[in-house]
This record gives sequence, C-alpha cells and structure tokens, in this order.
Amino acid sequence: MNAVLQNNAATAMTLEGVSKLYGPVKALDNVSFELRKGEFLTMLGPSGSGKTTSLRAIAGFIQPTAGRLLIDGRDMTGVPPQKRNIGMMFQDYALFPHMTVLENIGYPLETRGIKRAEREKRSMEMLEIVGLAHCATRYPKEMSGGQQQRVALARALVFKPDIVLLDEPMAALDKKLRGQMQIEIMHITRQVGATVVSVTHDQEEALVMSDRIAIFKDGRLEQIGSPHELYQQPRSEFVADFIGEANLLHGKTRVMPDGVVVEGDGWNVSLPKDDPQGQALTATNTACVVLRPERIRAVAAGSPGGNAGEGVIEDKIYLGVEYRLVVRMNDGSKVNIRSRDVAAIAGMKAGDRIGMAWAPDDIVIIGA
Amino acid sequence: MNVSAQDGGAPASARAPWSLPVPSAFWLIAPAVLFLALFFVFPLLKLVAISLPGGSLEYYEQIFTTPVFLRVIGETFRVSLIVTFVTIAVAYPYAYAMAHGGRTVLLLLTVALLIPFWVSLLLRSFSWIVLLQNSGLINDFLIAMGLIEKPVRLIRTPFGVMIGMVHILLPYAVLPLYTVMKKIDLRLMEASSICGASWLKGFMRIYFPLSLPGVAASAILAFTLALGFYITPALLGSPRDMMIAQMIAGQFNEQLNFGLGAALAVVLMVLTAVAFGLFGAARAALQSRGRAKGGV
Repeated sequence: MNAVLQNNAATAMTLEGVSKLYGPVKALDNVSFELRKGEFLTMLGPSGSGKTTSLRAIAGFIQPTAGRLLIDGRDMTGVPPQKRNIGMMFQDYALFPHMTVLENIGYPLETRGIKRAEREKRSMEMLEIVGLAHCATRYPKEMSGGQQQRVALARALVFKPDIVLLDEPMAALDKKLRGQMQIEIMHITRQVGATVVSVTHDQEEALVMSDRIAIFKDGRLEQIGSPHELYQQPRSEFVADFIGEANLLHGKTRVMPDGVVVEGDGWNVSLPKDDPQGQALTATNTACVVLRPERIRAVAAGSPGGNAGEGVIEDKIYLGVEYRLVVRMNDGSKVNIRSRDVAAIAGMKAGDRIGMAWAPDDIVIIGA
Repeated sequence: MNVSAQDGGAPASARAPWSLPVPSAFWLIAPAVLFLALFFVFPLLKLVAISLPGGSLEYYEQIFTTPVFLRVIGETFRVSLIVTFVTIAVAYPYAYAMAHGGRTVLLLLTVALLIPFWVSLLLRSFSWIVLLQNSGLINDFLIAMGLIEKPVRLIRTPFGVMIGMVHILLPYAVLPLYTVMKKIDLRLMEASSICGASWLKGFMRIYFPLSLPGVAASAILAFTLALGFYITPALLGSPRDMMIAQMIAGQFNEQLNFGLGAALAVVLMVLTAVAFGLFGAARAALQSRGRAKGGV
C-alpha cells in the first residue's frame, strides 16, 4: 500500500499513447512513458525521430492527434501552454531582447501576478544560483552565449515549475563550453529539485546529464531506461548502435542439447541452456549479437572453441590508454576491438590473422 | 597615346602605389546629385526667395495674422494626425498577417497592397467619388438593403477625405511595419506563453514593444505624406475641409499671388520638418528611457 502511494507521488507526468499526425506523416506514434518527480530525463534520437514533437506536445505548443498527457495526475491534453506551469529553455534561448536580465527572469512571476518587490527578490536569488548576480541590469545582447543560456535557465526555473523542458540545450554553444554547461545545468536543476525533460541528438550529452534516457526513432519510443540499462540491455539494434559503440553481428541460430548457438562465418556465440536470452531465441532462425568493443579479447589465431571468432587485422591504432583494432571477418564485416591488454596486442600487426574471444555474459542478443 | 595611357588608361593593378586612387564612387551619384540640385534645390531656394520679396516678411506676417490661413494649417495637422492614427490601426494587423501568415497569405496581401500602386492617384480618388457619392455604390446598397431611407452624406465631408487618404497611405504604412515585424521571432511569443502569459499579455509586453520601431517609421511616413495631400481632399472634400496644399495651389493658380503661395509652401515645409524632428526626439527619449530603467 505504502509502496503504491509512493509510486503515485513520484510520477510527475504521464504520456498515454500520444500520437501526432501531419497529414499522412506520423510525427509521433503511440508514445507512452512516465516521468518521475525530480528526475532528469533526456529524449534522444536523430532528427525527425519525434523527440522535439514530444517536447512541444508536453509544452502545449502542439496538440496531439490522439492520446493523453497527465501532469501531476491532472489531464493537461487540451490546456494551453500558459496554464501548464511548465518552464522551458529554448534552443536559442528566446530571451526578450527589450528587457533586462532581471526583467526576463521576473517575467514568469509577473504573469503570475507577483508584486514587483517580491519578483525582484526571487529573480535575484535565481540569478545568484546561476552565478550571474552582477549582470542583472544588462540586456541579453550584451552577454555571451553561455551567460544567455544561464539567464534562460533561470527564467525557466524561477517560478518553481512542475516540469522544466530543455530544447537542445547545448546546440547553440561552442564545443568547449558544452562540457562545462552540461555539468552546470545538471547541478543547478538538482539544486532546485527540478524535474527535467531534455531533448538532444547528442548521445554523450544524454549519458552525462540524464537519470534516464528515452530513445526515439521514426516517431516511436524505442526504449527508455537508465544509461546503464540501455548500454547493457539494448532491446534493438538501433539502441545498441546509438548508445555507445557496438559491433552488430548477424548470424543463424541453432538449438543444441546443451544450449543455443548463434553462428556466422568464422565466429560463434554459444549460450548455456539456462540463459534466458538463449531460451527466447529457440523460436527464431536468425539473431543479432551485440558485442561491445571493450568486451572482445584479441588472442592468437587458431584458438578454437565456443564464444570465439577470427579475422584479419585491418588497422591497429595506438591511443595511449588503449589499442584499437579493426578486424575484418570472413564475411567482410568489420569488428572494432578496444583493448588495454598491451602485452597481448603489441606483437600483432595489420594483416595478421588473429582470434577473438568473449564471455557469454558480455553478450546481448537481439532476436531478428 | 602615351599621355592617355598614363592618365587613366592604365589598369589599376599597374599603378604605382603612390598614384591617385580609382575615381571615387561620387561619380556614380553625380547624375542624381546634379539632377536634384538643378531641378529641386534650386527651385526650392527660388521659392524661398519669392516668399521674401526684398527681404520683407510681409507674406509670413499675413499668414500668421489671418485666421483663415491658421485655420487651414490647423485643420491640415488635425486631419493628418487622425488619418495617421487610422492608417496605422488598419496597417498593423495587415502587416502582422503578412509577416506571420505564411507564404500564400503574404503573396495575396502583397499583391492586394501593390495593385493600387499601378493605378494613378487621381483615378483612385475618382473611384472613391463613385463609391461615396449620394447616388454612389455604398448609398445605393444601403438603401437597397433598407438600412437607410435617404442617402447618407459621405462625400464632401472630412470623413470622405479621411477615407481616401487612409486608402492611399496604407501601403506606405504597411511596408515599414512588415519589415520590422517579419524580424520578430515568434518563438518569443511561445516563450511568453510558457512563462504563463496569455496571448494578449504577451502581445502587449513582448510583441508590441518590439514592433514599435515599425510603428514609428510608418507614422512618420504617413504623417508627413498626409500633410502634403492635394488631389484627394480636393476631390473628396468640401471647400471647408481645405488642406494647406490646396491653399498653396489656389494662391499660385487662381490668385496668382506667387509670394503668398511660396510663403505658405515654406511654412508647410518647416512645420513638416518640425513634426519630423519631434517624432525623432520622442523616439530617442523613449529609447533612452528604456535603457535607463534597466534596474527593472
């Protein structure tokens, strides 16, 4: 009982089967997920995947063709943006050019009928949190991109909104500033206890900032989970490829008395009988094996057995902390290996035929 | 041959570094400058000279002591102010639709706005007579509808003059407004609404202030043009609604009092310049006040 109550209290927003059609084009296709209070969720995906449409639907700038949107348990589907109590930081910040920084931050309070003195006090507090107290009387165009972003963040947070939306927060910043602002935004939103939904196409940004990541593809929610879950247990080739680096090997499945084998030309993966991944595979003929580059061991050629493969080294790159090998398999497909086992790799060179080995635990199988 | 090669025939790249630069851009504007000097500045100075025969200010004295002249000048400003206000009020939503209504709307509204430009001013003013006169289309229609019994007097009234003037000034007011509005990022209005503001609040607090430079530019243009209107008030107004340009024409064409006509023209010019200056000063004051109240 108690657990159920807590669970209810922890839900900040729910999307229920939200779809958006533009003519025959499905910009959003039956998207459902829950946002927990206080979490930082990133919607990640390539352009046109529906992540921005989702964000704009949450903000209320577009109305879904089907489905419901609940904020704090209340149905907000047809409610206009100004009545949703949502804060938003726009991609190019959308600061009001004719207002000072303090006026910009105070605007959401002004629309809520808060008196000037109180408004200025709270805006100033927020400005201190983002570290720009000395810029209160400046105009947006007199500030750098990073400073403008902090003002935009302060404006989105100052009225303690139920949810804060970040639209491609790093897109307008140069590369150097990005890393710094990622950490800073994370700290600030945590400090004020905000519930955040961010949108990006940059997987690194998503990994750095998010408690959970929702991966979008072609208007559908492909998978949602913590960065760790998505990396360890991708449910599709797309997710495996999008989060981190992945080798995707396609092979045929064979059911053996003691387990299941997936094999291709010059490699195989064998799973013991009790492995749930293997059990799920018995019904299919082909499967995709996800092998992370750092999970493959490069070994001397000719070592036979299960959970192994062989190929020819195409490139060997020394990166200081590790080696990177590109190995061409018999069927022409390429496998990336990252290894810190300098002793094993030092003697290998491009053109050599080598063996590869992996453990059943390091493998994720995606049914195909 | 040698001489010409040295003087100007040599290509620029072959010139010694110390030689004169290529002829300045002045020569490009020379024809325009010459034309204006000859046919505009010179006649203008001549006009001023005519208004001051032998350095005497008698014509100006006459203007500022004769109630009729003062009344016409006052009426000209009054009508121009009202017309400017109405024109902006009509032009503002029109320009807004052009700036933010999408490509099809922009095309339609632009064509609708520019077609009248291809029709002469005279013809357009005459068209208004056809529409507004007692047996004109509007009165006929209203009578046929049974809304009125006798024709309403539309023409030869200040109302008729103003309708004609607003119509003619509309494109001049729309275009500067449109130029400013299309640069206003509509995402600012989205930002305003997510900040909790209704559309109206966002318009008053964000959009309208950002469009003010366009309003000012349109107002200056419409007002200064309105001050000099001649044909439209002559055709659509009664003699009682006479504007200063008609009076100037009267002095030249009918009274053959070139001196007084010239003096009236100079007065109109000076007053227009003063109005222009006041607008500019008001704008500058508004801007500096906006900057000064930076502390919220």
